[in-house]
Amino acid sequence: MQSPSKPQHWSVLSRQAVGALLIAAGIVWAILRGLSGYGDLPDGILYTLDQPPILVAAVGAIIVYRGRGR
Amino acid sequence: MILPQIQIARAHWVLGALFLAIILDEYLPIRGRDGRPVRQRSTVIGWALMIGAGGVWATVVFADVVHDMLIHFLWGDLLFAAGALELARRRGVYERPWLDCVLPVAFVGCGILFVAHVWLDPSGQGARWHLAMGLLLIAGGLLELIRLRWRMVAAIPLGLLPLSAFALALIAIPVAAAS
Repeated sequence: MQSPSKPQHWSVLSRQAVGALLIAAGIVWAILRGLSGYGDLPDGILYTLDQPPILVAAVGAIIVYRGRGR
Repeated sequence: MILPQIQIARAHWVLGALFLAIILDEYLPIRGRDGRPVRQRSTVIGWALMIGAGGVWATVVFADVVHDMLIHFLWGDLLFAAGALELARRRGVYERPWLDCVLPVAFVGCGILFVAHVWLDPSGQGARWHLAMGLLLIAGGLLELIRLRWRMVAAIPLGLLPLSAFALALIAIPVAAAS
């Protein structure tokens, strides 16, 4: 299997670095701001997930996932 | 049907997260095998823009203020047109040089609509917030247009910072400022 070229390696790294930064920012924001729980029902789970720190961390996770092995 | 303020803010947060994912996926550098920068061609971006347009259009149904309805309708139009053109291009069914300008022009257009929103309702609670977001969008779109025109900076995603700042501002918008 061919290993990725150096520029490709850096582009993958920059995506993973930005993704990791967003995940860390989401965690710090959640600690500082606090998160609310809205129950176990489907709409409650949606409300719980729909909070700014969780959304920022989720975007970070998406960027890390989509940046892998390009 | 009029939504409570917290639900309006929640919609803004979700749309902010969607735009942050779109902007980072589109503008974070990707280089081809020869080391030269290549443009992201994921069809996900086209779909995401059209989903965002649907979310913005929903305000036309849920808003109780006429200028909110008008501005959100126009935002939805711009995003849907940009999404459709990007989707056609990424599927390979329509390819023109001017399509490079679609996303930057859509960002500038949406930014101008933010400024128009403030102009129509200058005393609104979120006026300063909206103005800042509009200026960030205009700056991001203009920087991307400069990047397209000026080959020397073609490899640097100039608009990435203001566009990411816009999306983060939308995610972080206070409940009282969302409209």
